[in-house]
Amino acid sequence: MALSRAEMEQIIIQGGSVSIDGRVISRVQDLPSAADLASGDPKAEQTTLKDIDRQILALQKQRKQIEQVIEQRKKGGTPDTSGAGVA
Amino acid sequence: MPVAWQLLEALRLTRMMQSLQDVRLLPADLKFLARTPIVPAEDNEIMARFTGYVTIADIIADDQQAVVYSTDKIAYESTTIPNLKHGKPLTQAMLNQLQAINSGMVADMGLFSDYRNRMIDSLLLGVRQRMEALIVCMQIDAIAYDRLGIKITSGGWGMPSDLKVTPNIPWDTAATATPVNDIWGVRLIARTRYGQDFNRLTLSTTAFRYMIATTEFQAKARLYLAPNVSFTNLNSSDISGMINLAQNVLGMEIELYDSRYWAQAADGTLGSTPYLPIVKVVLSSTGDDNDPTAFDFANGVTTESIVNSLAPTNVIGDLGGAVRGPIAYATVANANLNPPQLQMWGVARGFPRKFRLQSTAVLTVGSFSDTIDPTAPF
Repeated sequence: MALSRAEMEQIIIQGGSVSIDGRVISRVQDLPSAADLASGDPKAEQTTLKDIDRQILALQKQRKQIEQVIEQRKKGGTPDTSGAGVA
Repeated sequence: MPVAWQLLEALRLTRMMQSLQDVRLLPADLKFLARTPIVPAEDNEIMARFTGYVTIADIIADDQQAVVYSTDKIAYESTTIPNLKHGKPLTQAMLNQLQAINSGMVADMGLFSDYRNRMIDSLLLGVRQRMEALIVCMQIDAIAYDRLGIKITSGGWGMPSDLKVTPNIPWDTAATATPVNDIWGVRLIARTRYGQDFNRLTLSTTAFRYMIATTEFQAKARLYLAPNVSFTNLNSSDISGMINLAQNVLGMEIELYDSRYWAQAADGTLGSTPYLPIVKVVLSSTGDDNDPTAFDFANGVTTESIVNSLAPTNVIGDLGGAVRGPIAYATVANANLNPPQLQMWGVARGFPRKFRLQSTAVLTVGSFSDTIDPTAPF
């Protein structure tokens, strides 16, 4: 089974490189996207779709959390402790 | 009247070791040791590594100044040399048995000396096996060791990261793995970025069999077959035939390396381990064999021989002053002969050093497991 993008990132972070069809990649920013890596392999495509959905859900959850904090601040419920806006 | 253990004098053992360990008799399967120069070294010896780049000249107009570039640097590093040592006991029961065998004979008839010689030989071979294992660690740029208080969790010799490559599709995925392109990719980087031309591939038979089973390899090998012969007509179990074919496809010498060493675990069980992990593939240049500018094995003076020349010890005989390893010697296990035992030892002080960091590259071609049972068969 092919390495996932996360596994490739880990190999590079630990001081190695990854070969994709003979192209040696030594920097995380040079890795193909997860979608590029999965395309052409139906099983990997489905796994990647699920993984992306999971990431979207996690991001939406975080977004909702921040929105709630902002909303509460607007209502005066929570003091601003972030330091934002202080000259 | 000579007695059997008179020959146990350490000086005689050392000389006997030298005659036993003629370089031509070194086991042929310690491939990496045989191609690594063993050089005398001192503790904390400082090595300097000079790195310089030739830069292309600028085009300068008349009456204009040219620019000076500083691209050279010298890096220093030192190696602390560890001991490689192990021993075997000659217990009271064994000594009595040997004496009983000898007692009925006019002379030793070689019984005791042969036994002892085999013991010395196996101890020295064990030291050389550790040297081999360390050299392999250097060539694959990875060491992990945890035994008798020495713990190395992750170590390396500075191999460039683009020469330590993991294919994104493991070689045991026959349909989509691309072993030939993986190897060619690393060769290209080594040649163009580091000026190193790898012409030899060292790998386990398991990895080799996975490589030749891939669709990519078989498609590329098709060019080297007669027009009316397809890969399915070939006997892929014919390893030497497959090696010849793969050498043509890759343009590299291929050597299979499956040698293993035995080690005793803390609980006393014996287990065998391959020197070269079966998922590692080493690329190297035959031109670097025994070239001390590429890598070497730093061989220090054995501390045992220093101490023995300074003060009375339990060593039987004389080691002849400070000497470099590997050496073997015998000691009386207890000065009061309580219990009356002898111990035989093999020791060296050394560690492999890599001077040209790009002199080897390594591919980690999967995580498939070893099918060889590591337990002792007898």
